[in-house]
Amino acid sequence: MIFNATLFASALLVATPLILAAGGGAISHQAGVFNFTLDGLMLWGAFFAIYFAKVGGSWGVGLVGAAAMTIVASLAFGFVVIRLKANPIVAALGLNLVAAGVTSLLLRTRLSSGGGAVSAARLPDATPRFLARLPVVGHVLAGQSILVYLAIVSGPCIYFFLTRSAVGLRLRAAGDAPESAAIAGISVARMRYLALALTGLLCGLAGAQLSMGIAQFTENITAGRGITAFAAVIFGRNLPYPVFATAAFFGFSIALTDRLQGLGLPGELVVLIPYFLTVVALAVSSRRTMAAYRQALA
Amino acid sequence: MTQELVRPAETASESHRSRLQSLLMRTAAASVRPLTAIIISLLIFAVILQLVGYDALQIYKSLVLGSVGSTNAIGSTLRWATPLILSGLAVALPLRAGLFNVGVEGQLYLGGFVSAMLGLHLSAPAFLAQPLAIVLAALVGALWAAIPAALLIFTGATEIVTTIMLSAISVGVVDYLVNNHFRDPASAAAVMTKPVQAGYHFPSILPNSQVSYGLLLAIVIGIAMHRFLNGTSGGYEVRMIGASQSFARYGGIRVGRSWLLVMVASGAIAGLVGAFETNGVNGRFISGFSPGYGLEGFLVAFLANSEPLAVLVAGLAVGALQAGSLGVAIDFGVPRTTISIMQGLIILLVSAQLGRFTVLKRLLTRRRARP
Repeated sequence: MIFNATLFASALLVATPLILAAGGGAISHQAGVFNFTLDGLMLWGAFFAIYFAKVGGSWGVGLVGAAAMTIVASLAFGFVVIRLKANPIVAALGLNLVAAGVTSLLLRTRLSSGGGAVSAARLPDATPRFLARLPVVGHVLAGQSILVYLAIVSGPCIYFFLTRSAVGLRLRAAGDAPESAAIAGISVARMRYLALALTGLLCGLAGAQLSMGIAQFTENITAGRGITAFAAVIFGRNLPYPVFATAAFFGFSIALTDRLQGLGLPGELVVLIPYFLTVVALAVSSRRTMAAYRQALA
Repeated sequence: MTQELVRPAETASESHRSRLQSLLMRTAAASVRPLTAIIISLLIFAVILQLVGYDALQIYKSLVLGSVGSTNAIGSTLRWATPLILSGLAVALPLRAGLFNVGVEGQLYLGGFVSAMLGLHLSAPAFLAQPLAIVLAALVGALWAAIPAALLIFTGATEIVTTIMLSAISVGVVDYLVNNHFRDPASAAAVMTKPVQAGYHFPSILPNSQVSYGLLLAIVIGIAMHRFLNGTSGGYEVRMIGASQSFARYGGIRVGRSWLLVMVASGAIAGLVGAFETNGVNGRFISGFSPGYGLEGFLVAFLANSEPLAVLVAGLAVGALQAGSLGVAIDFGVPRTTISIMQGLIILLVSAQLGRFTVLKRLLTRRRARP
């Protein structure tokens, strides 16, 4: 039987970075910044999580370090796109390349000479005893990290932030109608920097889950997960709950395909199924959003 | 505008001189942004190198020597420029229609694979074999690029994501096939096929180098693309779509048809990269033979502002960077991916309006106001 508690436990694990990063991407898009940097930011966060965990000697230092470094990287992207008015897609491709290069260079020069995997502190089990004792749910939740719980609550949090808080409404105004927002006294640039800082924070945590979840960093550890997260943002039309649900669904499908390896399919081909699913999912529904962005970018 | 009306008529020689002058001015103005991006990137990269503990000045010196310091270095530059010019052209053409083909990597991988398969399994005389391999590689690349184009046109799925995903799929499938079915039993560390038959091996056109006639083909394609974009109605439509999609639609241009055209042509050019790398430089298919030509194509295209003739120059420049970085990797033990930091920095900054440097550009362009 494939559909058992172990599957859901691994689905939760795979979905966590996707949900966090996609939520970050949705915030950027709501503020009117087209953000294709999710993959690079996740990689950046994954590296610095391990780096700071190793230097500081604990997972907490790793988490804070990853978040801080990724916020800085995301704001740097913001400076290039908002202040210097660079094309966001072009700049994002550049940032992703820089992230891959810098993490690889630092890995070889600062952490391990061989360039292989580096291990450090692992994210601890955050599941309370009483939850872990429950019959089925306990099996799914046992051993999950704090970031898994953060991902679960991130959907409602982002929803309430964007629709109920004053800052969230201003942030959306900066995206929907920048001219009107400016006339109403909202600093569009400041709102966009804020959105990018939040994207950086969420992507940094997503990366931390990727690397500290297995207690090690390897080159290109994201393996395109950030692009899948971006696809979830497009598929969910930048809306908090649809984006959340899509990311969760992508996570579930990836976990499911991983399990198919046990059924005799070659592993090298099974890992390609999520890519295929992403293409299909995008083809099934993505009429409007991109057309709107193309207009905005033109 | 009003100045133009009162300006007295020019004599023939004056007009000739001013045309040359205007061309120079335009070239200078167009070079300001990429050159500024390069200079700033070099500075940032130097800081990174110093922070990590390398001597940036020594590394830059070795970079220059490794790219233009000797005949061998120049041969190496031309060798790397070939795939980079082709990838740059493959990226630039869709960009002119507002599309991002981020899947050049997968398309060239497939092109390399099929040209190697042909070279391994079909005996043919050289005059037939080589064109056959080139055409087949282009065809497969074009077909693979047609899928995201069709998805974009019929479903609206963004090509930025679908090209990346399809690229990952093709690379994965090809690697699987080579590793499990076509692997040279003698190969140990590297996963690769046996060498292709002699008739399929593209000869080197310069002594002591790995420069194939792919370089000449790249130049021909660049000129043809320039003529297409600037001298045909199809090219005009492509440029118009790139300038404003809604305006083009309103004007009755069949946007979907143009998109399919540029993506198919882009995939075909990407396929050629694979054919010339596989049957030319390497003489066999090697897993992971591309150091990331797909993204480097974006570097080349952005530096050239997607102008095909400028792509030829930018491809040469990035080829020099690539050749030089190999020397650096050997001399200093720097991982080769390090150079991708500099490439990424340039891409990050190349479309930016770099502060006071735009003032310089404005000065240059103001003089151009006299046509």
